[in-house]
Amino acid sequence: MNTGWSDEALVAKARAGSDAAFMRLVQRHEAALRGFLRRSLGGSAAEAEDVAQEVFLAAWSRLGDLKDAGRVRAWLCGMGWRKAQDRMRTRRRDVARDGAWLEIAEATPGLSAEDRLAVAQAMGELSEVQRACITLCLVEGWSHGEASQALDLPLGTVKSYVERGRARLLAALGGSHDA
Amino acid sequence: MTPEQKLSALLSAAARPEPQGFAFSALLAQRIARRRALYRLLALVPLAAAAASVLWTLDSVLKHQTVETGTFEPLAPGLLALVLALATAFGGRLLARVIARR
Repeated sequence: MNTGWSDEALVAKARAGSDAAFMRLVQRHEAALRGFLRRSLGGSAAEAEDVAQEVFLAAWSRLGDLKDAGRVRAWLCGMGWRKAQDRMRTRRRDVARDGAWLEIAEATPGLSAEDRLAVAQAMGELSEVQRACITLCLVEGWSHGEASQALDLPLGTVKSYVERGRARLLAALGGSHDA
Repeated sequence: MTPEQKLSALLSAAARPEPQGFAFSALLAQRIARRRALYRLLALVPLAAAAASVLWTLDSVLKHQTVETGTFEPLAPGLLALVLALATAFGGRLLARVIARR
């Protein structure tokens, strides 16, 4: 199969019934989706993988609902976020530290052990939606508008969450906490 | 390192993509195949209902025509039921095609 096809072309083929085209879309976006879910859920890789499986199964069934075939990743992340919210509602979040961010901090050169724990603690104290905003805007580099659409939140709310989250992380790393 | 530099390093580390999950894709393909099979099975339900309806109609028409009257003349209600059953069958087939494409 031609791997150079655009998302639009693959979506068109998948809508026509091609499983191969759909699986190509999966291979293209699954790592990003799992990463987003893992950082948003703050849990294990296995949990993010479970949710990602549900997202792709739903996407396979509802491919006809996708309005802009060029924005598959945003569509998948939006669905992932809604499923992640369902998942978070059903489990009691009593972890004081965010496991996913602790791993990220451990893989970051230049951070002391105290910094790593402080980052994980700070992320653990943020709300799920704040973590999702930080993941999309600060890590993945999405615009506030794109994150607002994917997460179904007002633009101002996304901007505020990102700024406050950034300030919280900076404070955890020894910076000022004035946002 | 300043806190800003530490934060930049942290966000760069977080931006590293997750490794490609081949097992993930394989499991998903399996689940999709299973769901497609289920949808196809469900799509057969209207066809089965239509087939049962056709057989039931034919059975009553033939019984009435041959056993009770001894003749074989088409009956309007029987034909109507037959047409309805055939319409259901075609509708079911159409539905099956739509579902099978998903």
